[in-house]
Amino acid sequence: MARRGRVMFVGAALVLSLGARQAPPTGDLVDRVLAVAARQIVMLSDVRAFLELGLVEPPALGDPVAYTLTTLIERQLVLDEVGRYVVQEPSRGDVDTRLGKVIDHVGGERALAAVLPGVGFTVDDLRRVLQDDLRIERYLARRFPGARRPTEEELSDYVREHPDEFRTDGRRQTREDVLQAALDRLTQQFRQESIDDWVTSLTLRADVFRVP
Amino acid sequence: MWCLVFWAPLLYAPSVVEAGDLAELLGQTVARVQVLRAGVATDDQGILDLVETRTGQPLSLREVRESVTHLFTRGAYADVQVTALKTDGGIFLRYDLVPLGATGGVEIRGEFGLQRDELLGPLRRRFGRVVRPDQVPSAVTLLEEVYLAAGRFSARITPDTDGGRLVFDIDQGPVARIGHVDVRGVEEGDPERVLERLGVAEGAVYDPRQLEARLAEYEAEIRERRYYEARFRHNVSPSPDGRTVDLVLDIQTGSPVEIQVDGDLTNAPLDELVPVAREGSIDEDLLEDSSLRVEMYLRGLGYRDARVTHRRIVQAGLLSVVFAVDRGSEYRVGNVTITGQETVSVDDLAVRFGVFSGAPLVATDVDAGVLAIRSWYAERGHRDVQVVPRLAERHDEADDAGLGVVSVDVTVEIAEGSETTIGSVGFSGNGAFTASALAALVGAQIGVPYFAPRLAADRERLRAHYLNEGYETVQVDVVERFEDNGTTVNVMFQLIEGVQVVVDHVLVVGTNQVSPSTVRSEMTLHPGDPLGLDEVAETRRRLTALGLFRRIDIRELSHGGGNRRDVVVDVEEAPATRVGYGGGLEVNQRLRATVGGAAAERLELAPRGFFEVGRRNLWGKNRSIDLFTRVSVRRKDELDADTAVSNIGFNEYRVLLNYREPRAFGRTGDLLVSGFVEQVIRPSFDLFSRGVNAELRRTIGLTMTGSAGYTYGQNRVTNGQFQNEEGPLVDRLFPEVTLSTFSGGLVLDTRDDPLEPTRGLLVGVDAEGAFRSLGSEVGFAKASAQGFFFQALPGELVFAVGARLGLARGFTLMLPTLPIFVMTADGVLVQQGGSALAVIQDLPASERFFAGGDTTVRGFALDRLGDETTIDPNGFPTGGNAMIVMNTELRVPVTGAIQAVGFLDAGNVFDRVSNLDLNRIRGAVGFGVRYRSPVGPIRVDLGFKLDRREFAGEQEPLTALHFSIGQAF
Repeated sequence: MARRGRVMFVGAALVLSLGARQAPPTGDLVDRVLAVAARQIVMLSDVRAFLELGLVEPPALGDPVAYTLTTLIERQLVLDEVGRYVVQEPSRGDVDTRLGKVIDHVGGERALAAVLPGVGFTVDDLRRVLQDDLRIERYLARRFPGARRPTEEELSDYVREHPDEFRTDGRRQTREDVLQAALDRLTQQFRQESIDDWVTSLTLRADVFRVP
Repeated sequence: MWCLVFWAPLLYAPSVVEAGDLAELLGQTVARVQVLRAGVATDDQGILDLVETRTGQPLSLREVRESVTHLFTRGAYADVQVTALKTDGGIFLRYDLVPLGATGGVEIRGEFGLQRDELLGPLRRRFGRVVRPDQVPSAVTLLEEVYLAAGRFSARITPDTDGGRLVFDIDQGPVARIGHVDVRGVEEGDPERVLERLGVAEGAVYDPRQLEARLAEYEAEIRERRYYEARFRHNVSPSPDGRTVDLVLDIQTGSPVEIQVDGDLTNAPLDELVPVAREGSIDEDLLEDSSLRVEMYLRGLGYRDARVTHRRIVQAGLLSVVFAVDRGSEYRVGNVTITGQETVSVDDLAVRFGVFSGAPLVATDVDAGVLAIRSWYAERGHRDVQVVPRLAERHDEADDAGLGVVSVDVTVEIAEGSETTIGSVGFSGNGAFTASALAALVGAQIGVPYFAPRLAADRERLRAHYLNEGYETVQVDVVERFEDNGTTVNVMFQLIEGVQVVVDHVLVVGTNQVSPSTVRSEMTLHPGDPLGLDEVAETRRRLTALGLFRRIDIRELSHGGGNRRDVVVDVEEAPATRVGYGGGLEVNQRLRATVGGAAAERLELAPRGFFEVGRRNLWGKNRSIDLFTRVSVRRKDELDADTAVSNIGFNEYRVLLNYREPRAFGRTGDLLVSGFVEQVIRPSFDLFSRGVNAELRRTIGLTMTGSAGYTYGQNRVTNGQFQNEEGPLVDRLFPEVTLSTFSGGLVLDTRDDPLEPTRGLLVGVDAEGAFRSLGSEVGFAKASAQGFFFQALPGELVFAVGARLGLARGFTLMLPTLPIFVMTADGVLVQQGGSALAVIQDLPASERFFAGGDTTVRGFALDRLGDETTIDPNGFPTGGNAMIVMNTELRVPVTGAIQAVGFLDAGNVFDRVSNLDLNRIRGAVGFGVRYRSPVGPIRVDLGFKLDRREFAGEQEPLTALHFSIGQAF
């Protein structure tokens, strides 16, 4: 406890001394390093770019920058893993399709041309990002082709807990349709949980440095 | 909490500009760019060069991102922040670099007690050059562990910062003393003896490292007395204040051990098969290995059913390990028959099979023979070859006579199958290289026999080629399609090239005294080049060869997933000043004058010592200066007109000052400038030399070195044993001679190890010339050539052969002889000589060739090789203008550290090149022993002359004994 107190004191003193030296002029922060993951630097401009271009969907609540940073770190770790294996390169057409979605998100090609310089990207940079996204998806599809089959009890629980998901025009679906839909959703959920566990294990064993 | 201190500068982070605001700044002219390191503006060009945003240019976020990447990649900063301030003149752009605390600059302060290296060493090993902020708590824990290991139980370690550097403020706390001592595992009455042996007493200072060392020493001593299960340990319980420790000494000796053999193991090398005494252990793994080793030994003798087990028996305080040996019958190879071969003769296959009639029948030998035949066929395209051994016992007369020997006929049945050849070779997926370029890399060609391992090697060769061109994710697969009943195979190399990675920036980190340009000049990686494996390895090799760094780390960093990478060369500099000293004893057989003046060989001992000091990396450019001094105590014969006096003292010495300028004269080569003063006691004379030398040395490729040089110096010959009328005139007229010599040479060296080569070649040619027109008092031309070849043989044997040839010619010099005056009977002096001219064609003694000794012909003492033309009437060598030396040697391993050698040497020294005659070659044979020491092989050789001759009325000694370090050649 004494040590902590001393550290706090030193910290406060240092803050004050350095602050006195560095305060003006501050200006606006244009960019900085936020993290290093798998030998790749993640910068503030990366976070801005992914948010601006709609490449991440942060939850409505919470800090979008923190969420995006975590997503980018995990994405980098997965990409590093993908790089260890040969994954079929996405075709130009596949990338064009993804690029079209981004163009739609920002409001057209002219809008994209205006947005890109503001986030420090070129179209080639963006295409490379989209290409990597597709490589990740292909890798995950190969590594996690499916998931375990839910038990009858799990299916029943799911149907009971999500009744609204099984109505069409206010009418309950047939038992066969309900069970098939529940089976698909639970299988997808289990697969996502497997992927999340794997990404978590990557995070734990990887050399990730978040700049405070 | 610690991070709060370290990251305090960041608490003043400026406001994060929103995307919309940022858009307003982008495109505006940059009025000023400033880089601050730890809050202070820097003018370090190495840093400023990494910033891509330029004054007068529009602000581009992309350039900002690139700049941040390069700066951060240097690895010296915890963060890089870029802020923009709108001013009247444009954008004021500022890069704030927040330095990391580097372990190289870690401060240890306070009452830390231990040596700094004891604290910094573990930090460097665990964290490398940089301790990141998040690693500081681990660093504190590590230091605490260091103190615990040193017996300090209440050390306090507080991290701090000072000017951005990491500081550990340490209070090592009080020393711990031994409280209560409990000795366990020994019999009553013995604890006192144990405490005395270990030097442990209550109230004494507790030093765990010293105690562990004494316990280990004590345990080893007990184990030598066959207590192989001895295990001595200690444990402590420190008091809460860390001032005292209660000590538990656990002394488990176990029982003494003896090894017994139950069964017939006559003449077996039991100590090697059961290395219990050597290992000092009876670990169960060791015993199991020993049983297996004995079993394999017996099977190697033909006891193919041999079984060996072991058990432990404790009786009367003695632990017996009993190896039960059941040899079974002895089997020998009867007839060897090979059948089914069509394309090769039985004799050829029999040699490859390697199992012959009458030899012990060893299953592993039969298996190896079958494999050798199968591989031989497979390499020739017979991929389906079947080779099956059949063993048939027959009971012959010997067996019937009750000798217990069973003959086994061995039949090797071969079904060759068809031969498969390559019908076509193709490549798919290649974009970076043409098919013809790739075809040149592989051994697979149309018509070549199919052999799967060869295709695998081709695949690896292609992969290595792509990796060296920066294609780090390349995948190469081989698809084989067999046709025509399997007699033809079409080979397709399928490639997925991936993206080519190229070097973006090369960043040099960690240099303080060494200029970054010195590092860059050695790098084979340049911006824009492919990031290839070979180039990284070559860069590392070159930097290591500089000798300036104790650690070199080459890593790559990228940003944005592109194909461009920054290459970071992170180095840790070695100390600039180097000091060395040492001593030794030179033992060799040398010539000495007896009372009557005749030469006699004696074994002489000469203690010697050396001291050297050097400073490298002068002015940061890898220049170096070294001073080397050596002195030997040796007897010196002072010859006088009447008496000969011998003085023992520091009569041999050498002082050498070297300056090295790497990449001199526009990178032509390394320039070495030396000054030297030296005195050497040679068998026939004492030589004092002094002078200066300049040499330009250049490496050509990896194995060849060329050199050219000039030497100006004086050689003074004193105490010449042959300075009489029979000796060369040049020695009488020029006892001190000034030489101005130009020289040049070329060396090709492909040896795998310069100290102890096992394979490779060393070839060299040298030429030198001294000219009177350039300041030399005598002129001559001299050339020498040498070649050595080394070849590893089966069984770790090494065959070495070498030859040396030296040729020289003195340029004719005519001098008037001194006038001679004779007094006549009437007392008048009359000149009788002086008008004649003395013609000198010899080389000065210091430049003539001598041979004989530990590195030339080993049946002779130093310089003593010669015949009547080069050995004077007293038996002292005069040297000559030509020399031949030839050596042949077979080096045989005996044990791990001992090597035996047999050699045959031959050669001679000739007074004139025109008298060089191979019929006059003298030879010697001999043997020697080498001991592999950390400083190189220590060598003892005994040579025997093949023809002994008589000089000065005495027959030459039969032998010559040599002690030395390093191989003879």
